[in-house]
Amino acid sequence: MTTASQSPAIKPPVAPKRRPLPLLRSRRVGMAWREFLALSIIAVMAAFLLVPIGMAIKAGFTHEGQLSSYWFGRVISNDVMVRNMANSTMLAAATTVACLVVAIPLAMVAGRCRFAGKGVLGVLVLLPMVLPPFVGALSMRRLLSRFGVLNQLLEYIGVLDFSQSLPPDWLGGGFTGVVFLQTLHLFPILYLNASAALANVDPSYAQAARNLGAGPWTTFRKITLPLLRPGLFAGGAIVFIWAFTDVGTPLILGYEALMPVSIFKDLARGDTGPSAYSLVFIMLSGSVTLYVIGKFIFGRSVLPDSAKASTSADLRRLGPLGTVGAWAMFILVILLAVLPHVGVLLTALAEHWVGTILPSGFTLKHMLFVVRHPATYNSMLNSLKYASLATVFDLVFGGLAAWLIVRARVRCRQVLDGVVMLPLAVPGMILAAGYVAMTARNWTGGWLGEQLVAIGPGRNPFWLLVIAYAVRRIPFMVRGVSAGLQQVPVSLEEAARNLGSSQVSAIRRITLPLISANILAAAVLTFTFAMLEVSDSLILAQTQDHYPITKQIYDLAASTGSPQTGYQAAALGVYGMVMLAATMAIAGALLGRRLGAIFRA
Amino acid sequence: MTRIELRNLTKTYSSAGKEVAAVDNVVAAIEPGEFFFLLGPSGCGKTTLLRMIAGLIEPTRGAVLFDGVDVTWTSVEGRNTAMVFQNYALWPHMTVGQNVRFGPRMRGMKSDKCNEVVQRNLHRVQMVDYAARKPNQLSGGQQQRVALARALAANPACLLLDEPLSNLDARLRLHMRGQLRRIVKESGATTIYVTHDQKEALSMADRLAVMDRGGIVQIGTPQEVYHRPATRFVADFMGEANFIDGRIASTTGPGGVTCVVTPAGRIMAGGACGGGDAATCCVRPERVAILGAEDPLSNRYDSVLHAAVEADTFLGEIRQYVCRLDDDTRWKVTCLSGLGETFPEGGKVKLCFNKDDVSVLA
Repeated sequence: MTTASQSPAIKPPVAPKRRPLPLLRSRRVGMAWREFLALSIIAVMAAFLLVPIGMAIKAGFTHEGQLSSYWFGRVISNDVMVRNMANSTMLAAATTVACLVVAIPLAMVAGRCRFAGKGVLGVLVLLPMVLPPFVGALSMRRLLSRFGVLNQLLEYIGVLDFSQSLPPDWLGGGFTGVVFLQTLHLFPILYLNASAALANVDPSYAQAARNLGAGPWTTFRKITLPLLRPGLFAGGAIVFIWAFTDVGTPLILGYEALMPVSIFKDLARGDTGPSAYSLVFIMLSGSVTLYVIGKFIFGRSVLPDSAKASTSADLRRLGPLGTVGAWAMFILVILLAVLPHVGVLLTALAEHWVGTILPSGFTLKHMLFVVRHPATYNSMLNSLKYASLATVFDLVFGGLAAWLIVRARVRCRQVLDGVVMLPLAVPGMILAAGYVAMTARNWTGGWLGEQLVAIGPGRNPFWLLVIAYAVRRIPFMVRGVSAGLQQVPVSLEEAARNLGSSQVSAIRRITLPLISANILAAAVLTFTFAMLEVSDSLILAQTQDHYPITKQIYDLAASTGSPQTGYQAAALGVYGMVMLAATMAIAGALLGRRLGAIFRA
Repeated sequence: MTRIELRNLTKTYSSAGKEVAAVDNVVAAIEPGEFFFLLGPSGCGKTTLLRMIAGLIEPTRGAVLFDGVDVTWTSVEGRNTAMVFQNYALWPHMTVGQNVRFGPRMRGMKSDKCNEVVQRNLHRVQMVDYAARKPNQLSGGQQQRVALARALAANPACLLLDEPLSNLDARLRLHMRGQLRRIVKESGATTIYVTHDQKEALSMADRLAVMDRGGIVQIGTPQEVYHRPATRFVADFMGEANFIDGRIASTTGPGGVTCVVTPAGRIMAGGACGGGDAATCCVRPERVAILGAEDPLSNRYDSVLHAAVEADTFLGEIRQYVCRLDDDTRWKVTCLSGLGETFPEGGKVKLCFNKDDVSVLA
């Protein structure tokens, strides 16, 4: 007979031995670590975002060593400055309205209808985002000026007669040209915002309205549009700020009566006088106000949390005529967006292109020249270096920040979130102006000040450019990684912890593989935009050895030394576009429809 | 009040190159003012059918007629139906009052008349005090009532309800059944109600249609469909049912008796049965009396089957026995707990029932 104590099956329970937790794995220390990491990131962002901007603002409010609104008063009473401000505001407003007009119909068609080829068009319509308007502008004069390709073509087919009257200037003195280029560059941001907003609007809202007797247009106006408004405001604010502070496109098109251009001219001349900084303050206030209005006042969603995305069954299948119409809409926009860049490609390959519809002869010599000439070749290399390093910086800091915000629930996460998203509201040229202010002189009077002067724009701005690119694009990384983290249920990580894995190991083995596509795509996007960075590059790179590709293009395009430089600028632009298109294609393939999450600030 | 007629209504989708019928050749007529239910398991096509009546989905074939007028190709807004969506689809940017006001406005009603209609309909669902609230400030049950008021305010020819109670918790659902039926019947609108909950359908419907795999299997009053199911699917779907296969031995004219011989014994069923030899008998568990093996009371019943108790489960108000018949078929028997004799597991029993409790399924 066996007794209970002999039976292996019913041994009395033994209290499990408690393994002492390593210091870093104990709960309280772990939390302290996270708080420390969060505070460190806040400190880094403060040092490279808030301090420089603060210094630029302070410089604008200093007169003869005293705090004073003297310069600010002078700037806002200066007629030229007021005109420039008005122009900038009009330009940004026109661009935003134009983007809305282009983006909403496309998003409605893509979001509510089913038709053949929708997937392809949905990706192609994002293409304009990688076509830098700055580069596109290189060909705009050639295409649309008084004696440009369009008018030559119109004369050729007999619409215009140059001998009878002066042909029209399609660039509208620059304004129309800038709006055109900016719209075709920026509308995808609104398209993505509108599409994402639409996906969150349950189709039954519109169906309920139709069911109660409202026609399609009334339904759109009274139901769908109000529900999309938060998304449109958020996207519209980004577009407005972008257009409001853009330097590159107006510069290349020669439309210079704008506030950012006058700031750029002052800073690039090395004139770091207070009036430029007063302008910086005005621009910054405008941008931040708009950003806050867009995000927190009008950008608040009224949709319930459980809003359901539309399913394919709810989409309207378009007939043959509708499909053709949808295609025509998309193709027209894509063609218009691609046109200036095709012009750039033709320019890069042209032997000679003046006063004719097409270039007279093609050659590869400009394309070869820019890879052989040390200055242009170096600029490409420089851009690759800056962009790669900035991406690594963002991967580490942005990825960590996203995790701390979404998962670690640190106490200061609101502050952290605000600080890493702030660069979206800070235009590149304002940050650049801050860096110029920070490195202009040894303001600490000690070692730190010396180091800062040494990395100044006129000395060796390598690290300054890397940091500027990284700080500017960190919001994209944080948004990208956050979006991924939010899609992965915490319970997956908890299950791993529950089975004995440490937090770090759970993240590495469970969460990271699941969000790798998001991380990679965000990295690719960060890299792409760092390559595209115009305003910081134009201001911060003042020595030829450190020119990135954008500054080199501007240098060539603005140069009047030789007739060849225009072609060479275009050739460099083509290389830039090839690099960008390749990286964007990867991002599109990885993120698919979730690409919009990155732009939803 | 509108009479709705569905003629050979069909909706097919192509999936992986094959045509799949979501709704297959549905024929039905819904009388004016009737509270009509479409009942079936998920994926049976009931919501598709409802959305075709609303005009939200275009049928592949067939026609929808309102009072004899073909509305198959009439636009959604032109049909004068009003639907309560499963998730209510209350517009989150409008207040309760604005939501309810929308339908009458769209149907061209003057503003002051609209106010009156809004008040009347909010009163009807006891939500007058909430007119200024936004939908996200309401509970699920309140949202459901607002959705109903919004639909009724449009004064529709036909009210369509798509599982309106499915998002509510069990208690509230029970409470809302009675309220919903009262409000709908008061409004007088012809109403079509989609649900997968047979209790909901049985307790609320004037008539109901049971759907399976895109088609209507049986239409009838709740009593007819429950007690006289046309197929095994209907019998099974409408509640617990016991089946046994057998062979029709004899049948005597209309109003007579059919005798079915099964491996477990002879079963008498009410009414005449035609069509083939093979038949399945169906008896609801609550219509079966369980008696001891020696109990002489069994003589009072038309059919008696011998069985052994396999399991005895106490379920509060009722007690359920699972019994094994002589041919190894398992039957369930339910009786009110606390009444009569109880039977131990393994004990021999007799399962007794009358001819009117048996449905013979073809």
